[in-house]
Amino acid sequence: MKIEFLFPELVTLYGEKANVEYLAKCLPQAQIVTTKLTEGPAFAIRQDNKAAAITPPDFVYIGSMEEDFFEAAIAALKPYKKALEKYIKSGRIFLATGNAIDIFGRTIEWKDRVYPDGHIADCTIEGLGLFDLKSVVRRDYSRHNSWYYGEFEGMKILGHRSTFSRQYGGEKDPFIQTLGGFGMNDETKQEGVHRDGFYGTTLLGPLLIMNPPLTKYLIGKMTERGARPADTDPAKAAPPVNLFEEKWVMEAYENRLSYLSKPGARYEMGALG
Amino acid sequence: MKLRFYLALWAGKLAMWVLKLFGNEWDDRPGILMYRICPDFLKYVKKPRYTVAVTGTNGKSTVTALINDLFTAMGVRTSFNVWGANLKAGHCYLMAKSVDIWNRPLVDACILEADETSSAANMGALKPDTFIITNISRDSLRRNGHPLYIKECIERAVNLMPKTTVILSADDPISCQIQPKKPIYTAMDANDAFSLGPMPDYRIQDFSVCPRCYHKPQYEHHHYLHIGKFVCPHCGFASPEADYEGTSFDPESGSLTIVEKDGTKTTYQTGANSIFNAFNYVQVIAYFRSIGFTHEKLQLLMDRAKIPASRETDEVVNGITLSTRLCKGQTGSSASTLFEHISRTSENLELVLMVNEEYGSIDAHETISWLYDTDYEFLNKENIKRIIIGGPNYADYAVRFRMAGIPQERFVCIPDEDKLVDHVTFDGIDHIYVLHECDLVTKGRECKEKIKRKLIKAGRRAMIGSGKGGVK
Repeated sequence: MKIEFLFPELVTLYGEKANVEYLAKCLPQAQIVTTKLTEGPAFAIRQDNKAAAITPPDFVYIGSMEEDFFEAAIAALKPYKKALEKYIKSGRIFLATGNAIDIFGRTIEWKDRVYPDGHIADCTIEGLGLFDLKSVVRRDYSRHNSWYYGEFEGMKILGHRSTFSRQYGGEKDPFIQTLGGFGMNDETKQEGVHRDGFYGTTLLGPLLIMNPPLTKYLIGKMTERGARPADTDPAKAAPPVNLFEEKWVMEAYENRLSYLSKPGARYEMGALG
Repeated sequence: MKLRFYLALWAGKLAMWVLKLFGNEWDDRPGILMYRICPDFLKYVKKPRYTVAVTGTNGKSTVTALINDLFTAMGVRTSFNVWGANLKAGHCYLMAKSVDIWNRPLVDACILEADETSSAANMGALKPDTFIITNISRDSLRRNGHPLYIKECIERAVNLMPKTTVILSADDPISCQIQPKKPIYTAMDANDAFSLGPMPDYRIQDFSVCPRCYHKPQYEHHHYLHIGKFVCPHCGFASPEADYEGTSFDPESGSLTIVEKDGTKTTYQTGANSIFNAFNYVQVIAYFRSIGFTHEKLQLLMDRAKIPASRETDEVVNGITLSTRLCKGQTGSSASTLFEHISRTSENLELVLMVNEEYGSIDAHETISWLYDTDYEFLNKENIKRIIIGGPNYADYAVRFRMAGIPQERFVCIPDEDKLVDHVTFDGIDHIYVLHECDLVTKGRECKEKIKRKLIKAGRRAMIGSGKGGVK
């Protein structure tokens, strides 16, 4: 089993790399491949004859980065767009969290961007165009901070959002349905996009640590061990996937779930702190 | 506008007087009143002879306090918000305190702490003589987003005050991306074997790629996190030459030698006990030197500059050292630096963590992203015998500790923060640290006092048990 971590030198924010670390703890036999900006991604099978890249990964992860690096990440992936589409269609997992989702949409509109020479102007960055999604970045006090409570395939999804960007569109490929808090923008209940093996969400967590049911589900998909969401017939369920420190992870999940799912829960989060 | 300004000043002064009557001087509401009446209050208020503002992610409060101590020791009348108050309200409050009702300066020096992200508007209006940027690294994800956003905010402030002297760290690759018109660079040379050794694999990577060409930068030496002498071998982006460089520093004695650009070498006896405090002292000394104070005067008075007690306290009880340290929550940079510092000791330690911002609330979940930005791995050491933490996120901490490889038997995670002390033990322990959030200075000290009482009681029991009698 192989897990690819895309651009670890850019994906340095909000503890997001712990998603990969947690997967590695849950799947100690898995091989972790890190792909830098200057390297071809393993999902496209590297041409550099590295032994590690002969088979495609089973799981690809990319997380939040400073908006300044969007162009570099898009430029690094653009030559492999077709391979990426093929990979996703194959049903293998691709998880994008935080603002990494922005690079997979059509455009990123960055309002009042401050350039290195000090001038300020709006700019539009062309995304990879995998989803009909437009992101709007406002890097100022309007930073969005909120708690999140939603549902996917019968699983309750928890997380929080802390971002300069909001996303519009993507209705054809919904991922999580919002039960409490805000969607990708203030007018939608949709959070993230999902098609075939691609799961993209603006949520932070780290998502896989904060959502053990989802992690089990994705590992199940990945390992073809057939783990099913909790609400399906238990008789049909495949042997359970064991998570690292499952007792503690579930206790943390249950504590947070009881807080975020109770009537009157507050999802808005102050900027202070 | 003049009338509005004076109305604001008088209303603010009246409000300050009323609050003082009720013993509530540490309240910046008069500042809010002043800028509501006159939004340009900071532009019109008279500045004293010296006005210095300090911003940056870590070290603001320490640097402002040290500058205030030294000015005071020199007999210079100062105005200084000892409690921080680093937003516009605090700045208006401080500046109003610095003038009389006719807007004539009452003091010789104003020392302001400036919040990084909101400093542009305030500093642009105030235009201090000197602006010190201690360092830039990630901070609260909710408030400050990420380091390049913080840099951008400070850069806007710097661009609004071209005549201001800006003191910044040549060892900070993020600050160094700011290009002031009048810069003074400070640095610390390689100080020990650690700074020349391989860089630890920190979780926080605030300078993992060169911002100009995306290649991997290299360090000639490093001090902590991304702070060190750097160069990008691909495009040449590198640490600027320092105007004031700490060339040797002894954390035991606080002795700090600084070489100036003209080669002048001076040794100061400082209160610094760690490399990050040495950085603070270098900037403070650079400031005083830049405004014309002599080495001799600074050397003579340096012992009067103290690291604020709210940051750290130490005392020895029954042979065990009890310490409190400030440990910012919701951001990994401060906590990681502290953990790394603590991890270098060989003493047997016990740590009580009070790093939840909303202490004591059973219903206040906090984001946990920062736990995975923090190097808890530094605490995975045999001599760190026990880590105790409480609060609604107790299970999240347990997961984090296990992710860091810390064995279950070496941590206690409980829901009730008020019961932390119940789990403190003393057998074989040399040093107990209470690491507390910025807003929990009092709670941190109370916790230490409870541990102290427990320790004294345990000492009495031990003496009785050994037949040596009790303690009166």
